Amino acid sequence: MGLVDQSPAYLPASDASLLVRFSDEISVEANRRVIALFRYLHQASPPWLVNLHPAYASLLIDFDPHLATHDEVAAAARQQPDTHFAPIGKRIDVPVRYNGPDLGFVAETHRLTPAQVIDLHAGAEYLVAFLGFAPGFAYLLGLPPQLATPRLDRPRPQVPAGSVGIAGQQTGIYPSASPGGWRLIGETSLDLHADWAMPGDRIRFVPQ
Amino acid sequence: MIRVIKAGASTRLVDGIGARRRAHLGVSIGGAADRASLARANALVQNPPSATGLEMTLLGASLGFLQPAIFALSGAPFAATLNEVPVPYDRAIAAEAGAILRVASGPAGIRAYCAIRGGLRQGYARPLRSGDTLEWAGLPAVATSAPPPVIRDGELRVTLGHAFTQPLLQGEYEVTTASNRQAIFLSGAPIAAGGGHMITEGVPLGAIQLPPSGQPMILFVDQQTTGGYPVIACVIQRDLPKVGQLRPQQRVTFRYVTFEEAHHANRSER
Repeated sequence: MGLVDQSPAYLPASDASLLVRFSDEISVEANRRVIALFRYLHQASPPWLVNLHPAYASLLIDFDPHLATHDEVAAAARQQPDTHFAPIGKRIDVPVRYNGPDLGFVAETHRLTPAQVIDLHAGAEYLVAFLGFAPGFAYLLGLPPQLATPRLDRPRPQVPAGSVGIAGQQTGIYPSASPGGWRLIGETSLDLHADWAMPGDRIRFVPQ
Repeated sequence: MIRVIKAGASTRLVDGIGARRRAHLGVSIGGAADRASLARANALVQNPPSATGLEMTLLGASLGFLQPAIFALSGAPFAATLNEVPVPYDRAIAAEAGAILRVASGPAGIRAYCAIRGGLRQGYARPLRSGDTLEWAGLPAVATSAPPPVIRDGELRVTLGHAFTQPLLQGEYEVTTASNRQAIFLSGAPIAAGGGHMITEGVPLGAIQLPPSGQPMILFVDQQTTGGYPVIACVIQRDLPKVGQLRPQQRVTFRYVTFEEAHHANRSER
């Protein structure tokens, strides 16, 4: 299919940043190209590089405008060796106690038993597409579609750190306590400091 | 050493660089909201421009000097006294051991900066509390010329968002009280979005997002690193310090410039 052969769009996002967009849809293929370019620039570490923001299908590159221009940054990105797919990162097992307050709701919504929800959730392997929203918050690809569940109508004022939840077609872990509207199905004792996971890592949830 | 006697409304230890190369971990850049005023205060006490100093928001702190020190205040001109005697802004001032600096509030701007010769050590990531103690970083003195004071008018130069071809920010907007270091929330004539659905992508410092309410918001130093609202414009680097001085109820207008004009401003107006 055409996606991996298409050259990305290089778009000035501000006077000090360039957005490299591989696709305007969420896909594992586009995300792996994002991660490949992210890793290349992260390791090359050019002096003008301020920050890299990987996302589902694009990479935002913040640069020092005193040291480079949009064209120079785009040229540096094009120098990435022709490896369209990023190799898989490290594998992380996340121990989960599936005892969340919304486990029953998720099960009932999909006419499953709680045990079946746990089997499905823990049976899949997830890709860390990127981190954002809060330090250490990982956006994961790979939730089995039959577990997709809408958010709460009214967010909880306080969700404890380590809560594992589902929101639409996403699943994730709250790295720190915050308000939140995700359906909580469990909790982990893993320490989710800011660099516990990197884009491209693989995650499995292991029932405790 | 300096003791925090009263912390004020929100006083933080900040530097002029922030957390570079950690956005991919979800960590925002942070650092001083008005980097130009911190650099000015630092230059006046012969510190490197980005040395860690104090950022005082809305209402300043009371500080007790346990050792002699040289300090300078810059940014929003909050009323300040050293041992009950008024102290001027934008000047290096000597404090003796036992002296007390009291910084109150002021009519314009929202953040005052205090630099101490030698710089401060970054001991607290949180806002300071009374009783905290601040340690010297012991940086060697450097001679740099102080950048000019930040002009606190409400005109911000912006470039077009990458998905937009029309300047949507017209007329005046008012800064709302909900604004903080994460975002400046604006209120004015609602803008019809028309951006449609978009998937989450990285957002730069100073990005102006348009949520469904049609009321724009400027993402700032403690912003989330990714976002899903359309970015209709972005404040140019040169004008980011002005964003750090926007006060609730202040009027803001936007002037669109090309990327070339933005680069020219960034490189020449220093």
